Amino acid sequence: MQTPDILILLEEIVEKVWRLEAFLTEIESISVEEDKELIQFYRSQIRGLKQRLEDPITEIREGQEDFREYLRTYFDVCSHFQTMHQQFWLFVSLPKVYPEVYTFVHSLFPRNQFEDVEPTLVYCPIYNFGEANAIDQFSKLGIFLDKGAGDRVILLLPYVDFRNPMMWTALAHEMGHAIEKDKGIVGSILPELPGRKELEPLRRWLKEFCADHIALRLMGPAYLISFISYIISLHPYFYVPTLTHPQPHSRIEYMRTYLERNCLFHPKAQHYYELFQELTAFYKVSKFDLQQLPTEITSPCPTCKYEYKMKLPESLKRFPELIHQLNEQVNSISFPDVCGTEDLRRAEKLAEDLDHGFFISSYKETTMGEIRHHLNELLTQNTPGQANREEIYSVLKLIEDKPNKVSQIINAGWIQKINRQIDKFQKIFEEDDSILEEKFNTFGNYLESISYNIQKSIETSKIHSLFAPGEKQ
Amino acid sequence: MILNEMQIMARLLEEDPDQRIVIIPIIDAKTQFQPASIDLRLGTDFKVIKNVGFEFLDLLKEETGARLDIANYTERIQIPYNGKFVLHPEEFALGCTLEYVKLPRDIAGRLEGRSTWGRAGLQIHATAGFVDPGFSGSLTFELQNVGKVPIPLFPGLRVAQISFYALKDSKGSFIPYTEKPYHKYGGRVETVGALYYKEPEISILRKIHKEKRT
Repeated sequence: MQTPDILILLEEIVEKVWRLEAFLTEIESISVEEDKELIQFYRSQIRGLKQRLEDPITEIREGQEDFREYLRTYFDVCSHFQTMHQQFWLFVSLPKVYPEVYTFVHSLFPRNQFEDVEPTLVYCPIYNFGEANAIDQFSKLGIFLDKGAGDRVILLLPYVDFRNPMMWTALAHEMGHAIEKDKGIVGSILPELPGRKELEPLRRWLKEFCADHIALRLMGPAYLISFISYIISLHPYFYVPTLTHPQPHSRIEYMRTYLERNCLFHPKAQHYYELFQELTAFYKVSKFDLQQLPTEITSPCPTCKYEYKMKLPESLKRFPELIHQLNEQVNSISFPDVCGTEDLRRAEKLAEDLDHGFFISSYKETTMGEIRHHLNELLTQNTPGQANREEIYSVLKLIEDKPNKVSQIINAGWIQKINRQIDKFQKIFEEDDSILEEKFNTFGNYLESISYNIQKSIETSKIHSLFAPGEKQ
Repeated sequence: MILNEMQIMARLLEEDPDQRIVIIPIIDAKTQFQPASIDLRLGTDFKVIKNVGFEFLDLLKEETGARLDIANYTERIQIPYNGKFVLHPEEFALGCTLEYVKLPRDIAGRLEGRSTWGRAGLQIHATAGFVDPGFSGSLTFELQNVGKVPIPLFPGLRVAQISFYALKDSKGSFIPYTEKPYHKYGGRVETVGALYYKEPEISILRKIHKEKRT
């Protein structure tokens, strides 16, 4: 592992800790007097996490390279962060989910096209995204609900990402599950047969790849990057294949192949891709090839003596032959906004605007130079009162903006983050004369301004599309 | 000098970014451009006052206490893009523009309401309509319904207009807004409440009153 990679990992966990604290502040604003003591207790726990992160950041700055130790600290803070995340709901009341999250989902999955899978959103105590419906949940308890309200899709959002649109890409994956279920995609490839329980892991894996494929089509490289950003904070225990989920390595390779085939593999995605490879190599996680999947896997736990063992059913060997059929079906679903190469080109430009603090909700079809040229022509040939109104309006029309797509905005956010955030992080934490809490506040203010900007850009672009002349309502 | 619509447009297209007026997004130029101003729209982010259980505004509290007071007596309301915010008669709320606005160092702005909404009883600012040269961010509305009937406010409505004044010295202000040591609202894109605790006079008063007590 190299110094920059360790710094990225530390920056990632610093951001998560700050976001957890921001959620606590949100809780505090709606809390009752009796909650205050517990909130203070949580705050002191978060302070403890920050203090643990201070040493590795300082030492790396001073040129020390005790990477093994820093990774241990990283791993401990990640574990503690997840435990704290899980405990919040037990003791304090929770705020409601912001409407911007709904706008994000509705922009990708418009109501008129995906009426049957229109979701509601709730917080998830575990640091995880998910998709559920009440019928399935209650049937596990032997209570059988009727279709209707009980069948509504429920998306689960972790507290920490309550105001982090760059991670909402995972909701596109979760909506992918709902769409797959609604359209019966996996069922059509691998019909459910009574008494064939051994096919269930294969079915679950296909469902995961299907949801990944939908998220990739809509979000492009932003989905891959956010997936890695999420997965690197999990216990290495999650890096092996299970009966419900394929190995993250396989999913990442699948995503990479999709992006490369569609000329969407952005160099910034490579950055996170390599980081994941290095981290798992450091943890000595075995990588299992989907083409030659063994029926039994073992993998050592990097943090204890435990050895992970799992039997995989023979049926999983059919996976490579079925994945092509799956891809064809997913590609045939029509989405209003699929992420393409042009979107990434625009995202590059938007990332610069975002860095300057501008909104990235819209773009101009005509270049500023061209509009300037038309305006100058109009002004040199006419004086007020003389100019033809139609001529004036045709020049004014050129200055109008067009709304950006959600995928452009989110990809711009990730490009900006990879280009700038690590430098910003280093610069803030290099300040010798400020105390740790101030450094966290400064970095937090920076993160908050970027997140607000992206959130507001998504919201503004949606309102823009409603009011723009000639736009479909 | 107040800019006419074509001068506004020329400034929006200015080649030099330091001289450029930025307004993002411009959704419908034909309706938004007025003879000497440009209309602005209402955003989705509001702040309302929760006065129940709050006795008075203690201006002299230290920053942490003041922040908590503000959090306790204001409530942030974010409405969906297709939702509405109903402003009842005599009610006050903070809102903000849908647009991001940035002014160069030689242009000042003046935020005003629009006649249509004024006639319905809607005021969009009380005292803070002046926009300093160099400002950037969303503009805050001090919304008040001085009429007799509730007014539903929908995000995207053109409730305000901004006119632009060129400073007599074309080099502009020596210290634009965001370079001022005590600027509080620059660069913010959300609705921000009163950050009175950051006023330098408040720190002096805090000190004087502390000494008086001891």
